[in-house]
Amino acid sequence: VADTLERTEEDTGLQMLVEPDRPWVTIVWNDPVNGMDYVVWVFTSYFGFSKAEARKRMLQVHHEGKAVVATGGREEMERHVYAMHGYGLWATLQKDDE
Amino acid sequence: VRRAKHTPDGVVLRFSDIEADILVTLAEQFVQLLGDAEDPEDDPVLERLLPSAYRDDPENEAEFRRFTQTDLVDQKVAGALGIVEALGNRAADNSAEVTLSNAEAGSWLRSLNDLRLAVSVRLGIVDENYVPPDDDETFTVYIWLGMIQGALLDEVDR
Repeated sequence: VADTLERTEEDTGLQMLVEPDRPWVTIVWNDPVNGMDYVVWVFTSYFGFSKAEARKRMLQVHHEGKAVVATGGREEMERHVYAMHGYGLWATLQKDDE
Repeated sequence: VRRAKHTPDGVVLRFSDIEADILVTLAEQFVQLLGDAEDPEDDPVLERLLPSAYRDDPENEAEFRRFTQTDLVDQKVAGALGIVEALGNRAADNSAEVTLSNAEAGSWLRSLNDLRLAVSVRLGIVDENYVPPDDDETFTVYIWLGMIQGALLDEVDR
């Protein structure tokens, strides 16, 4: 009998196998505390966006309440979300089904 | 005297003695708070600093937390301790100056932001219609943290 940890990893692997084509997205949500300049700095320094691109996405977060900042595999999106939480940004990941 | 200045050695940040004391105290309180981070739902500040990665997916959320939360807490604690170390051991004169490499400046920006987030939760800033109380010391600290962060950002961006 496998322990809980191994079972969980197997489940994850199976999910990836069944749905290989559905990408995941990293979403950054608006919040009233993080400053605009700070968010632009996070987007340029972490994602390597140009200043213009970073500003565009920051404004999207600000005006629309959220913005997709990355698309790809689930593990990669988890890494991005973890990094965003390190910067204090409000980020989540989900399947790109909207 | 300028708050922050870009030099060949890095960004120089200046604080008065009182400012340095306040920042060290805030950073120490922050470290203490994160020491009790086992269960973030017990404290709204921890909930804000260690937010969910998955919405509406408790199973994946629990797994994500199990594998990442300790590292995230360690990173935030290390950043705050960096501030304590840089400002806590200064000579007893009336000002403090720190010179930050690019990496250190990045760590300070993150930590200043963490402190600001923590203070914002205590203030109850939940949306953009927040109205600060008159003469509120905590709100003054909140604005002040934003000013330091902004000054540092201006110099890091050069």
